[in-house]
Amino acid sequence: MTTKLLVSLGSTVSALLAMGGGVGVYRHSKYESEEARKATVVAMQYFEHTLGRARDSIQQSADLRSDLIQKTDALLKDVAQTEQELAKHGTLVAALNERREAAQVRVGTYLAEARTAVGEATATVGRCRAILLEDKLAEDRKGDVESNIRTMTKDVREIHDRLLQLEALGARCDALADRLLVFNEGHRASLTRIQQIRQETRQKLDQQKTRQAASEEVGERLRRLQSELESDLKSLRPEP
Amino acid sequence: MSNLGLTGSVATIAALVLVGCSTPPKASAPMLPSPVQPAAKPALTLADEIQGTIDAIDSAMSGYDGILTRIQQLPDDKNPGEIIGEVGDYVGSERLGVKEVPAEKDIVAGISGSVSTNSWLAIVETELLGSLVDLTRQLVRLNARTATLALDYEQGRTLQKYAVKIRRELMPLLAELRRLGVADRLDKAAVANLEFETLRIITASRQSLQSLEHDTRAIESELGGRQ
Repeated sequence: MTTKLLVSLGSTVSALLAMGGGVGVYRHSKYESEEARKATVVAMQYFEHTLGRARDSIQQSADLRSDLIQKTDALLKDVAQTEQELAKHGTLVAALNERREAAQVRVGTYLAEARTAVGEATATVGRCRAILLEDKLAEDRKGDVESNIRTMTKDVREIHDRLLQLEALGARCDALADRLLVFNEGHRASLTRIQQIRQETRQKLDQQKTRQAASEEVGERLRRLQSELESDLKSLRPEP
Repeated sequence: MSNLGLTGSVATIAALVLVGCSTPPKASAPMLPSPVQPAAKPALTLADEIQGTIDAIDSAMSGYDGILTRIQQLPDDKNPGEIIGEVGDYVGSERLGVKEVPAEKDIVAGISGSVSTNSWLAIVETELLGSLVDLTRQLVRLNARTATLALDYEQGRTLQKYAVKIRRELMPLLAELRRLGVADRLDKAAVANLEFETLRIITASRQSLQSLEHDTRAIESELGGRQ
């Protein structure tokens, strides 16, 4: 009897427990499920917002990168022009060197002529002075010779001055030759550097374009992530 | 007598169970603090758990953002772009897909093993290590938290999916964006320098050429013109 009663009561309690538990779980899960759904929608909206910010950031950096690519491209064109201009400078300086050589030859010729003239005039003056010293000339001829000596001495001085000028000009030609040499060396170095700059710039432009593609790829991956998120959000949101 | 007593007890239990089962959800039944015991925290609802997880993600993301910003501000000789790329790979790696927070020395060893020697030296020198260790802990805890949510609730699985996506996909992508930004910044400065150098070279060449031409002409003029 007792056993039967206990069994009966046990069954009743079990049934009640099962029923009560079921009702409780149903209420509990329904309520919490709704709350969880709402919270999950909020969470996913947060994710969506984060993704949106990341995509905005990509857009901003893409704009900046476009500017950079434009600048680099402009630099590349500029460097190519500079390289052409430098090559032209090389031709111009070669022509200048030829002109300097021609001038130097002329200076050499003039110097030789002037030295000869100075030598000859000095010798003539010397001869005249010797004649005067011998004192064999008549008085009226003496005056002429002295006058000639003065004139020739003056000419010798002038030629000597011209000689000094020509020597200075020769020295300037030498200095110009040195400067042209230095320019040539610098010009070669500049041309080499400009070619390096052109290569560096080309390389940078390629890298920037690679980064642009990488950034677009990141944007695409974010877009896919966002699209997946939107689809999940749609399924989580109740039908209107 | 004893039967009646037992029946009474079972009935009481049943009644209590029924009362317990019909109790409204935890959120709507705040527990009152006992006057003698310390105030017990009200049990968290699933919505609270989810909100807490969002906050945890937010905090981890904010910490991560701060770390990336600090790396981005490092001098160029420390290769900030390289460090950012490696940190992005580290946070997205399966190494952090665990649920137990490793011991600090293991986290440190993990970071050290995931980045290059140069990056590691910069991380240690610039005191970024502490922040990275904290971030690691945050991410592992987040993993454990979302895994627990996923076991209990359908929505938890969705949340877990996105928490994993954030760590494995979004965080490395954000690092990639920063890395590209660092490279752009360096390029911007480099292009400006190259532009300046090009201008300097051509200007110097023009001026030298002009001066050489002037001097050549002067010599020719003193010689009585070109022949």
